[in-house]
Amino acid sequence: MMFLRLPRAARAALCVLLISALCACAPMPPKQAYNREANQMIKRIDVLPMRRAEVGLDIFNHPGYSFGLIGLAIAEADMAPKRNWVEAEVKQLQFDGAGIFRDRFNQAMTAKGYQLIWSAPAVEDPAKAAPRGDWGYRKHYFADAHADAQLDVSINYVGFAAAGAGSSAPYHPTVAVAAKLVSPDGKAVLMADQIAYNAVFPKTQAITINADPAYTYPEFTTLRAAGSKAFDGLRAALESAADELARQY
Amino acid sequence: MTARLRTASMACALAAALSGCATSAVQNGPLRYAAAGTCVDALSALPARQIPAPDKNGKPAVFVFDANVSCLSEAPNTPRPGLLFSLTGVATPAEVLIDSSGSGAVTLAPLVRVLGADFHEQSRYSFDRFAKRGRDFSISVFLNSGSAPPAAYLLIVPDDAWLGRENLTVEGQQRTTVWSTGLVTGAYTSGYEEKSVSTFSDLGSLSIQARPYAAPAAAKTP
Repeated sequence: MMFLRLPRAARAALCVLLISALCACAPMPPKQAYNREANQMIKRIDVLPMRRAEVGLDIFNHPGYSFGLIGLAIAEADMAPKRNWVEAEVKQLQFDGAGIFRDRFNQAMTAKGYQLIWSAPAVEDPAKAAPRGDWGYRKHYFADAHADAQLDVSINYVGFAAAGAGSSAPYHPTVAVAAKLVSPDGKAVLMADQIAYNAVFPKTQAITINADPAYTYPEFTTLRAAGSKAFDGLRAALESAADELARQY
Repeated sequence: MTARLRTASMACALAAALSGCATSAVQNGPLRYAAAGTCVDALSALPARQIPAPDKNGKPAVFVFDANVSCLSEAPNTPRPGLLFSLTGVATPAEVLIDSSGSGAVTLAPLVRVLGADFHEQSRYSFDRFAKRGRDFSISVFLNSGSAPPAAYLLIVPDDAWLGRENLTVEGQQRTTVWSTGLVTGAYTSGYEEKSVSTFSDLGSLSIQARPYAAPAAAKTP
């Protein structure tokens, strides 16, 4: 679920790959629950720079993706003006998805007695992005003597997504987050899990959160008509995902 | 023409087979527990069993909460199913993974209690600490070394606070449709949103497994 600052074609190809993988019920990487009692000494956590995620608009399981490059081109041509609208709204509203997530997660973790140390900036420069695996986790971790643990958070998807192209699959605010807590030496995984707000795919093993029905848009036209209210729903989705992640610690 | 009809019927059969990734059985029947046997009023009177090892495919053991589960009545007129596991064979530190299935008409809302050898409660995990994963709910209970006194039993009973509430799941589904012109056959995948509702109950099923706990190496996780 990686939607970086990529050319449209690459992004579409990535989308198709993702869909192919998930349609085959691709197994999620092993999850690891956090052993709170055994890790009581962990209070100060370094949050590694998060991956940049642009606000997207996607129809998963779009029938066009089944018809080769021509189908892909048609599907993408259909999506392009809709994504342009999302981009324009993001600029106009100065919508900062990573910032919303960071603030809420920081607040929730502070309330639980943790001190999060965020990198500056909190989101990594795409030109210097850390190599990551298919599920958003970093491929390498390094020793960090300044904290009790390191947290790798990746907002893998943020945007408006529909499970299909028809009216039976409305758009909802959608967020997918991967998180992995590792030891200061970067060698041991203390917690790893995925959170999906609006589970677009069936049989997921991620922690799932049903989308708020107040922000349901059967057609793109209704989403566009909702304007900033739809982005209120996206804010709520990010905050809900942040709360759920904090609940794991 | 006959050949075309045969092709079309084969296409329909294939489409049906390809629809979705998997199907799950729906449990029908009563929505609340009614004990088949007599109830016991002391935890020590419940039969204690070991947590079974996963099968050869790594699938954890499944326990169905139905009328045949032992009845526990700790207070007068409060019969409820109770499943007691002995932790004798579980070396610490250990992680006990419990997963409640939400694929039927009812979803078991478990409450997990960790008990000492004298059956005194050491800790409890109410159902609101479970994580929703699709239709199912899961939790990990850790048994750590150095706990004094050590945990001896794990008791699973329904969480009364959740009984009768709704387990709503909204998730995307996939449907593969096969088309044929008689000469050329193809398939496409489309999606739709499905809502499923189940009632939280003291019936249902859960899976359980215990495994040694050690933080996995970062290099081995994708």
